[in-house]
Amino acid sequence: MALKRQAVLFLSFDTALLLDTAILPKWNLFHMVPFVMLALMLAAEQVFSLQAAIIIGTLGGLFEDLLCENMIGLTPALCLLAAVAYDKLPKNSDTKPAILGLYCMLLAFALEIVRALASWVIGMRFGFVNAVLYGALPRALLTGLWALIGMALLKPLLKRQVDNP
Amino acid sequence: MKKLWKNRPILIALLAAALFLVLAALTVGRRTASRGEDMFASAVLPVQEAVSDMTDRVTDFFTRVFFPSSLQQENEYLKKLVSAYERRLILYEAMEQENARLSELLDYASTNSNFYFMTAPVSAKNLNPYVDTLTVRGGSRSGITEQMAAVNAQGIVGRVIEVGATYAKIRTLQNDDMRISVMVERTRDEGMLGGLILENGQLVGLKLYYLPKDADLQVGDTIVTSGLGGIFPKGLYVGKVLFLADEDNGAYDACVVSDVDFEHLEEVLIILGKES
Repeated sequence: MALKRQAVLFLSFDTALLLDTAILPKWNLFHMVPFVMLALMLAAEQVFSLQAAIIIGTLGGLFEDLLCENMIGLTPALCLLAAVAYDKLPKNSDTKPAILGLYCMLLAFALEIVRALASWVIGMRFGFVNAVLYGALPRALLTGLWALIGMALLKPLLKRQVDNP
Repeated sequence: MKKLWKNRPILIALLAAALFLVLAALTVGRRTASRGEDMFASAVLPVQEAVSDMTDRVTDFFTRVFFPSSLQQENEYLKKLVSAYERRLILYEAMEQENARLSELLDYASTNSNFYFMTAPVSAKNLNPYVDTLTVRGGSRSGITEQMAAVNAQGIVGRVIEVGATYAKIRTLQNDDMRISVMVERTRDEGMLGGLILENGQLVGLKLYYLPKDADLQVGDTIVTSGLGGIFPKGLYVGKVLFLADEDNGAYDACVVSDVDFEHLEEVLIILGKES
């Protein structure tokens, strides 16, 4: 079962990487592109553990930076901070999925704002209102939705593992 | 380490985040990739390209299925674009040809710098070989007067016979009534050029006559203006001898053919005067 879980996580990781770097940027509808790797990381943290989220966030963020960013290390750092923040948010096993999705959206929103600020610091020019309205907000909403989908997909793996130790 | 990983994951995550932030600060503004980055990107790039290509195909398919109108619009737009470019190309080619013609005229004017020239675009033609005249833009307001000579880079075109305020009519060499005083450049023998030699209704050349009886005329001799008569300045190129007339044909001495393409004349130079 553990092997199956690792295989599913590996495939999800690869899919998220390709979605973020090759597929979704092609369908860039008014900049509404979700951050699928972050969604996968938060889903893995909710379903499995903080350690799983740290591994996914570190590797996923690093790979995406290597492929797309010009600041290597920014995305994994932000993903790890998001993972720690998610761990500290008030929740338990009875927390409704809608609340978990909202947490994910808030974290994604905060991450996008920090990323926009970091870009501004290094000299990129853009309007903050546009960055929030047309960038961070729709991305955060879609990332939250993807995180909910990720949780729904990963949860059966955890249940079987628990039921069949 | 394993124990620390299990008990203090938050600490490890924060430490790693801090290290990554330092790394990010160090890599800001870099222009060249390290060897490791290069290897990683090279390994992943083919997969990315394949996925990207597949995405394009899928997008294209769904666009065709669900948004045929957008494709039609794009098609219409592209047709208009092609049409606009074709018009521009035609304009460009016309400008290129005009440029070449004007360059030739400019060269001619430069080599005859002792004359004052004016470029006159041809606006109308009458290509009946018996009454061959051209109408050009530019008349008395531009300083053109009757009897001025019209030339181009290939030689004598004709002379001005009528002048309006903004136009002038030119009788060309191909007009049967046109006469020019000429001479053979090599022997300096003077004669008269004018009148058409026709064969089966087709123009062959111009008659050259009144040459001295002992003139040593040869096929290929260059004929230039003699300057007599005061209309055409001396020494302007007229044409070459195409053939000599038979001895029993007293009407003319030789046939001269001009290099000027009278059917495709678009600009001529009017000789306004000579430098004193």
